[in-house]
Amino acid sequence: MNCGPPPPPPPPPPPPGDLCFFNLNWDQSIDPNGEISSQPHYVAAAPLNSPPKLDLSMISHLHHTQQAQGSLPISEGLMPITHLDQFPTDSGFVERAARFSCFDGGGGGYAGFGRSLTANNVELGNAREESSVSDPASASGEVSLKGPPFESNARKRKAAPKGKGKETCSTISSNDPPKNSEAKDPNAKKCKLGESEGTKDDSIKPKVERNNASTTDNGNGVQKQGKNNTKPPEPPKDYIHVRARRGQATDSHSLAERVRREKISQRMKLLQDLVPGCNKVTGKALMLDEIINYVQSLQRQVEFLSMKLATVNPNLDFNNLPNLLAKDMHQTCGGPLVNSIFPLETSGVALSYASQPQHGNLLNCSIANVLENHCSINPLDSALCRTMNTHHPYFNGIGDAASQMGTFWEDDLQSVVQMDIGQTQEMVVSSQSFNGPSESVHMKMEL
Amino acid sequence: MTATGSPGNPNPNLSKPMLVHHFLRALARVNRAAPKQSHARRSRRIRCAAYASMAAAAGPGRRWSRVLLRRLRSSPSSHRRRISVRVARPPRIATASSRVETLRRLVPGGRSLGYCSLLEETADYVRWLDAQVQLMQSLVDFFSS
Repeated sequence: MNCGPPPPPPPPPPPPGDLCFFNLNWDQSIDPNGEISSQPHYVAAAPLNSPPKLDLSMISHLHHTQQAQGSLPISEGLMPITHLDQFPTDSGFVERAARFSCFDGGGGGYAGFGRSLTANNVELGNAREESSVSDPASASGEVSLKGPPFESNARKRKAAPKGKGKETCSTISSNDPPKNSEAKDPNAKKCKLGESEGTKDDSIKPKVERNNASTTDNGNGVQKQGKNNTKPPEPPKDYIHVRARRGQATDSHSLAERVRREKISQRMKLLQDLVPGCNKVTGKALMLDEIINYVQSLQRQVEFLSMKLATVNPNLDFNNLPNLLAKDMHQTCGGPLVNSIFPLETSGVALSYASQPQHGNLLNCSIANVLENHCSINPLDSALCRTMNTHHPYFNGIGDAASQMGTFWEDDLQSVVQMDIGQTQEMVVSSQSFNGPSESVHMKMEL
Repeated sequence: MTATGSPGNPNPNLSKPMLVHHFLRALARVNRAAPKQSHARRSRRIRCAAYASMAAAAGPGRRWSRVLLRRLRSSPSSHRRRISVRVARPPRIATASSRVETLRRLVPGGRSLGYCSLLEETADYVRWLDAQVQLMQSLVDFFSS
């Protein structure tokens, strides 16, 4: 149940605000405090039931009081520390709430809508409590504004963590005396400020827990609790859900920082897999050292190998090369199970690079093609060339040390050869000529 | 192109065929164009070809490959000019350790990256560099055998 975007504080009540209002109550009604006391006779109106997301148990907190003063509601059965709060400053909220017909179920009285936590809530030891709403007949903000200016200490609680940042709300709220609901006007203003901060924060950081988000939306002023209190009924789909453990900071900055740290450690793990020798190292600094060394060694290796290739290349007679390779192939051509072995060395590890004869042919051809060489194919290889035409090159890397290199070439050369065969006209022609009578084929590739 | 895929598949889009293709083409071009060049020049060209083929095979999805290609394609003179024109970078806050700075220097395009994305780029770069080294090593062995 994603609550809508945070509704603007000004009086015109947007529908998302209404939704959020109900979400809030729903959230809180799920709290595992056994506070769900069924008082179904307070369910007055059908429209309240109509939103499918709404849990009916919230109604149990609907305390209908006939007193216009909004005194403390009586919640039977439980021992909640309950404050009935009026929101004299948030006229928009009052109007919004008053639009629900459920609130005039009392028929003209004030509907105290009290939410409470029980006293055996160990974590908070305090109540969260909610709003009182006037009925729509008198639903102007004026009326409630003129009511006794009660302030929810919940609001104060919300305002406080914004300022303190690191402190968890639970500690703050537990410090709140339960009878703190008497409000002074400057306090209310301060809280309003905190509220606007809260909404802004939510729009910036959607990772704040849903519970927090939904409550800051409509200014009902319930916020972060300890972990065992926080039961978001349904994880939001599009948000990264960050859940603060007990004792962790819960403001948005800390949450974002925690996400970032998780991301970094995840990438570090990724790098640990990539960089050899990084597994033994503990500590990020040493790991960074290893990574730096590895990157440097790889770059040096590239340099060194390019030098080596530069020395090798001019001496290399490309016309001889395919012959040489073809000779290798012929040796393995007789027995299909015998593999031609190309010794390869990669980073000091001697790799025995084994392949089926077809693959040897493919390897030669692909390299020869790309290097624009004359490739002389022995007639004995015509069968192998046929397999090349059927685009079923088969390559098998054998040897544990060769597995890495084997997969490398397996991946590469298949598609390289196929690509070359498929795309180059000359290659098609020459490969057709491979199928011809057994004679030495001279082919020239152009890229 | 998100190269950092699931941890189960370490190389989701490391297309080594393209790497082989690009590098061998570049090598052939070097051989064709400069058969009589000095060894130092040839090796330098081959090195550039190696990096360029690596970046081309990696595609433009990564910052290191874009930076590498831009750096390699621009001629040395224009490169120098561009550097002289460039506004001096604001000095990074010195909280980052010297190791991170070293890593930033090593990974192409890493100077302007944050720590998190630097690690990501490094992982991708290391993968490709490793593949390139393997390819070159196999070629060297192949040719020298």
